[in-house]
Amino acid sequence: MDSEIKQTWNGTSGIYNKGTVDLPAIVKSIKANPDIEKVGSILTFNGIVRQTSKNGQKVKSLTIDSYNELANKTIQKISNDIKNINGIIDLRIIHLKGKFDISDDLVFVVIASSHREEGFKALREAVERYKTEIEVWKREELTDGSSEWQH
Amino acid sequence: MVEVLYFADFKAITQKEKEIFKLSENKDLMGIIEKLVESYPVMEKILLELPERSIKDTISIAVNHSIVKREDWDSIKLHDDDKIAFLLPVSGG
Repeated sequence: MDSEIKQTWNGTSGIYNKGTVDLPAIVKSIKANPDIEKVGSILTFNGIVRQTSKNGQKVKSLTIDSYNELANKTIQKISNDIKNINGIIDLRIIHLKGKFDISDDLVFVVIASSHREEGFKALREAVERYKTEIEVWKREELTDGSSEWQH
Repeated sequence: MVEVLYFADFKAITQKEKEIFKLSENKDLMGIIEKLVESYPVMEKILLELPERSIKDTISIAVNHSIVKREDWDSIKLHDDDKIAFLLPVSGG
């Protein structure tokens, strides 16, 4: 399946390999939208790897696996739903996959809206939905040598 | 023949990204599950409620990159070259 992963970022939402895109590049692509003049707010969410697991254990590294074909479809669906919210001009949802160290970037959600209020609401909705809907799985590798896929 | 795609726990169990299986006579999902469990006994408790041997509620099933609705699990007929994936609840980063 890895051969099907996009290796370079083409400016769109989706699943990408670790290191193929960063936040400034995403903001730049949003600003290239011809409707940028309608935008008064760009909000960004940057999910990174935390050193402590939900159960308080110390994390050494984290692995993300994804079902790219389904995950990309789901990201597209979430994006379409958010774009239909009044006042939302553009957005990107990007989830990275691969093996990650502590503090590495995992996810970017960037929302451009006419005003900040609808932007904050849409950003929260996009983040809550990617967490529970897109077909990706994470495994925390703990400092005690154990590891487990999270569900 | 159908192709079973493995993700997360299933990839860890099989040490593979995908695998070819022969369709059962009934060409149904349960036939593929029984073949998987035969090859990888540890999958039994992940995929099936025991002793009923019904597919667990925690599982989602995709055929050809589309999720199959739960109500269609019993009736769906698989075809040669179909790509099937059994998915556990997701965990976004």
